[in-house]
Amino acid sequence: MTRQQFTSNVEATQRALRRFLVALCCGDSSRADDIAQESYLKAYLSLDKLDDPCKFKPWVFRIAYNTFISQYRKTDCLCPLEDAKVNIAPDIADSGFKYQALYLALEMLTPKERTSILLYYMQGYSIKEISQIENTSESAVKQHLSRGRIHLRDFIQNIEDGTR
Amino acid sequence: MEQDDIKKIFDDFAPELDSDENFMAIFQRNINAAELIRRHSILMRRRNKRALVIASLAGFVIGVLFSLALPWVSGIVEGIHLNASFALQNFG
Repeated sequence: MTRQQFTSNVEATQRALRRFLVALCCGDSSRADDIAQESYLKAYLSLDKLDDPCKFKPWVFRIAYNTFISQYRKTDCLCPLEDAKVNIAPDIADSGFKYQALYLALEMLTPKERTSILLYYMQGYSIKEISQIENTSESAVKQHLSRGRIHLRDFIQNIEDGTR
Repeated sequence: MEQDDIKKIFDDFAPELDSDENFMAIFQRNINAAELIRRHSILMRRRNKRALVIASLAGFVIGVLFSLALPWVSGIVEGIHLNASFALQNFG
């Protein structure tokens, strides 16, 4: 794959990857973009490991997931949203608030549950594809999805109560 | 159905992101920096390889010359040894 082809692939996948990472980072878009940049750089430096160019997107998602997990282990915990509220700039406060409940609900999940839920429901990957991205078994992915759904149930219930 | 509800939540999920142009500009900068470092490390590896080859050749040539000159060198060393023994006997 040439640099030009790689850049085209990045242009085609960056929106979806960043959207996934923002949800994974529970709303921290600058952190999500940092992880996205680091992931694309790692992907560029290990292009020779990509066997099938058609599998570029899941391959980059796998790198992004691993990058997120290694960052998460270093920091040990995500900053609670309550602390981040004071840092939200006034002009973006409204847009930040829009998904705050979702981010709080996602923060209740473990990183693996969150990743599985997002890859399945947001990105539309199959369980087999998710297991390859997370480098885990399909039964583990099913477990993560099941637990994730249970944790998100309250959030969904609140939405339904709000719409009634 | 719960699964449909979850899917709908994420279908409607559209967070505000930094512009695509900014992201791609930063990406290009990072790739350019990576290319620079890669070219530099290739250059350094070539230089080190060249130095290693030169040092190996020099060592080999010196070794061959020394081996060829060994009988003559042995003679000189023996001569120095005899003179030293003689000096020690007479003046020691």
